[in-house]
Amino acid sequence: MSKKSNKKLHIICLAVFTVLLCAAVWLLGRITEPKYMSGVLEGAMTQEYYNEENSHDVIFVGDCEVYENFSPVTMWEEHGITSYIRGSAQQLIWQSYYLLEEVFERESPKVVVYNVQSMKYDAPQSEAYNRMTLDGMPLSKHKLDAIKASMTENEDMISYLIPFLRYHSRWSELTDEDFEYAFRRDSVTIAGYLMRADVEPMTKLPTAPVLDDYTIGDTCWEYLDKMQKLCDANGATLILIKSPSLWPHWYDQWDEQISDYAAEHGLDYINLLDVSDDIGIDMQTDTYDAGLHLNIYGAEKLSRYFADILAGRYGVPDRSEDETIAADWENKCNAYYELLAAQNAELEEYGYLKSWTLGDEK
Amino acid sequence: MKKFIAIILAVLCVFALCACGNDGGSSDNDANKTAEYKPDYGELYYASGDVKFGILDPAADVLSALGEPDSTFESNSCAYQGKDKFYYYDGFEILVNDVDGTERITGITVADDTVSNPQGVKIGMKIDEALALMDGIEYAQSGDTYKFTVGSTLFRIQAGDDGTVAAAEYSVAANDK
Repeated sequence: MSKKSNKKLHIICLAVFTVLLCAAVWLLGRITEPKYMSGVLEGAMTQEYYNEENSHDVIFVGDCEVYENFSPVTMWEEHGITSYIRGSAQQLIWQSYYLLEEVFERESPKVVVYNVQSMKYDAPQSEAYNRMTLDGMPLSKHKLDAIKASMTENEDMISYLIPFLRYHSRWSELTDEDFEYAFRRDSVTIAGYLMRADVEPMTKLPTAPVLDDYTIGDTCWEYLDKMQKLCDANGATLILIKSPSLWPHWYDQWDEQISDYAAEHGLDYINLLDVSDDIGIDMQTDTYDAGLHLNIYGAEKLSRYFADILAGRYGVPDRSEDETIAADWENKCNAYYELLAAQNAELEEYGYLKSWTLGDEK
Repeated sequence: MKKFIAIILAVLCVFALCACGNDGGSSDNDANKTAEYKPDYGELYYASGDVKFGILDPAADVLSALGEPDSTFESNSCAYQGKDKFYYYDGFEILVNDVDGTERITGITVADDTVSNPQGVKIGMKIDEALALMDGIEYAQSGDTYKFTVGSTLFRIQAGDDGTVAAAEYSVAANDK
């Protein structure tokens, strides 16, 4: 064999080997990455948005105070409002911003609702929460920017791009779930709403911790500015809200700063904590974890109240006459009530939600 | 070519070795950690009756000595793995977190004026009086907050608008950002 053809063979072998190696690393990444299909479901939420077939007039962004507290199905049933919650656990404001950039590339919502609770954090906090928000995003400039903004000291970009680098040590913890869901996921939310039908009444909240400085950080303001500009550029109205969760504590000093910012920038800021009684929220029946998050009964009350505001004050249209959209929402409503029935059945059988929690019996 | 394959194989070996490494500590190690634990809070501890405890003390012994709390509260933790677990007792609250596999006390809050810390600081007293009681422990002032640090413990007193102690709490100094 001539030297030339020998070299050619080497190059082909090298190419095949490289492709196989990449495929193996990709495949192993799919198997070893956490699936979040049981226990901690929050990590599966980000990617569900990409399965949506129809557009939405309202998009919520923020942390657990949106995805646990608002029910898009209720807003649909009350006013024919199409909404989606792009929420995730401890979603930081820069993550909300980049998720929103992605939204505007795909659709044109009329209203964006941002829950300001996360503005207490001016710096990256936790890799675990970062992963739950960012791993589900498809590769894009938005994802890369979100990773750059979110990484804590010990994280690196490459492990977000090649999950196997981060998750290979899970090999000894792999379960059937890791193989079953390597290439697909079940839905864990209904239009971004993570349902909980159990009840744990509020007893006593901890004393609010002392802070040295109650000033909301510059990075948060910078991203709030960017969020408003992004909404303006896309013809959407940005509404700031504080969801009516009672813990973590929402300090008056923070509230004042958000109110001042909203007034200066011509934004509406609705502190729903102030109108909890008007909404009818009863923390003896409407929370599943003693005041942190609303259960479905609280979320439905809040969503009815907020849907009135969206329809009345912001003119969000009723889409119930649109056949395609109505069919889509009929499916969502069916899934919602099936899920509620399944959760109620488990509550009756076990006294707690076995399949939707880590199994901590209350 | 051979060099390239060698590099790739080396990378795979690194993956394999990392995968073989177990990043979780064994229970024996955890037990040793608890056994070797020496509190470093000096005088910055809290006391309820005969039970003295402080920041980073293993929680199980303390909670057992204190007896049944009035109530408890849990929320997801931002600073630690797992949950923030609050235990309420008469006049004070204890926060417990999983610190490197061991449940430890990470916060003690003086909740009302029915109790005081071992130095005598209590909610509602004049801030000057409180600072005098803490005599001998250096502090730093940040606005209305006075911070005393010993070892891993930060004791914080916050003055209210009327110049009295509005809040007093112990926390992990490393978490003070």
